[in-house]
Amino acid sequence: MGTAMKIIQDGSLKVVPGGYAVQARLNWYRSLPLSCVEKVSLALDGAPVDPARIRFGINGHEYRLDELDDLVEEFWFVQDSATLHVLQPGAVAKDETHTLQAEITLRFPYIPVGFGKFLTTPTSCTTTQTAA
Amino acid sequence: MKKPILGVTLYSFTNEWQQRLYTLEQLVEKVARLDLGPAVEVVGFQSFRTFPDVPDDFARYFRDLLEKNGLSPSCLGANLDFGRRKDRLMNDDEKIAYIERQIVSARKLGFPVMRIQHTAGAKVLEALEPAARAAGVQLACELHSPLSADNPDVIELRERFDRIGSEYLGFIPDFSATMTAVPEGHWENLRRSGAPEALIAEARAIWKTDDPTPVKFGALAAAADRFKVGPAAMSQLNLAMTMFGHAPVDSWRELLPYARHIHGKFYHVDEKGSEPSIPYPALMSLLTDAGYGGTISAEWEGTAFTEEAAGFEEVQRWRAMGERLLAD
Repeated sequence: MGTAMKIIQDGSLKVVPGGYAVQARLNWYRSLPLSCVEKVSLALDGAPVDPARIRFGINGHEYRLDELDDLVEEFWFVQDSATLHVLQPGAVAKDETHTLQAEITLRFPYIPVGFGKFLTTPTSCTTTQTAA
Repeated sequence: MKKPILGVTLYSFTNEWQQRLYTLEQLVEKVARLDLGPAVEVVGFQSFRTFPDVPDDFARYFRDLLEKNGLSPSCLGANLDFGRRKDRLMNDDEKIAYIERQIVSARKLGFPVMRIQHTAGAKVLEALEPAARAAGVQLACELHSPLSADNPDVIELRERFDRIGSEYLGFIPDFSATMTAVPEGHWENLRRSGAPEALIAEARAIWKTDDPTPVKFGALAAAADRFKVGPAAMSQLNLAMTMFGHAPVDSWRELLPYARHIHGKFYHVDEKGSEPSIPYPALMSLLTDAGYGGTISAEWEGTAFTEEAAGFEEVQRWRAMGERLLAD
């Protein structure tokens, strides 16, 4: 946990139906409702990924990023990985090496920092991986 | 003479847990093997997958797990996620329902005390007293930095507790409110986030003032703006103000009658067996003088500065320090 945590797991880049996917970790000590995942952004080899192409997979479900805000009763468990699935066929092929930049911003819904505002922390990570 | 009962919160093993080095069962077994019990505290949202609820069969499994390892449940860490919706805060009825669910879980799991944040407020806590009483679970507000005895929210809660007069409401003092320095690890973190030395020096000075937290946030924001640091460093700077308080040790004295459990917060116990940022000798002698006979969890929070899976080693050192100080 903390600033040094790698939010994208090593060796997790994989070609999957419809595009590619990586495994992401929660950079906090406790599970959070999905509504507290404020922002997920990715860039592939320096080119920003359109957020509308990203699907957030957790607990056997897959969500669009704009669906997360309402999910106050579904949790991202500390020990679980979320799958960031990018719907971009052909962007990554097996055995190709790519550089991914990721940023995940979390809101801690029990730590107020002023009225109606909560501690909100981004974590970023750059990783170069060969797709499986 | 009564003496505090030492134990540990599994939160101390956050790095081990997050790196998936242990299952819950393995953590509990190691706590027992290293004699870090008997009192075991758990943060519900950290260790239990189905939290805020727990199925009956899991609750039974957990109680048996502690029992067969010679351990006993001390405190369940609950959370009031009143900012879980982006568009609005929870209203009081929603806060009550959310906390009540966790009281039910605490009862099922066998915890006699449940930690909640003071943000619940006096009115919500009063409304929850009958549920806490019926469940046999003491509902206690964590007094983590910056909540020291003279904080207006703490005074308001205390007055309400006095009026209600129930053993089922109280506080969980946390040693982070009475620190003598910000742990060096925190400044190290800031350096790694790109904060220049001059900004760190300003932050140290701001930490030492007695200004209220929002004023400190304002001063830090102004300083960070001058030094043009990014949002990651900014959030680390703000954390320093909320995570580490510097109230006098003696301020705990008036709160101890309300203490249902204590968080023995620490960041590092060095080779000499002392915690450089927290006055443990004074704290432990205050507790024995006051005849505190409740539980204290070793709560290692060095996880804020390192990814190293050092929880067990640190808690063993804390334990040796605690036993030495209590024997004095």
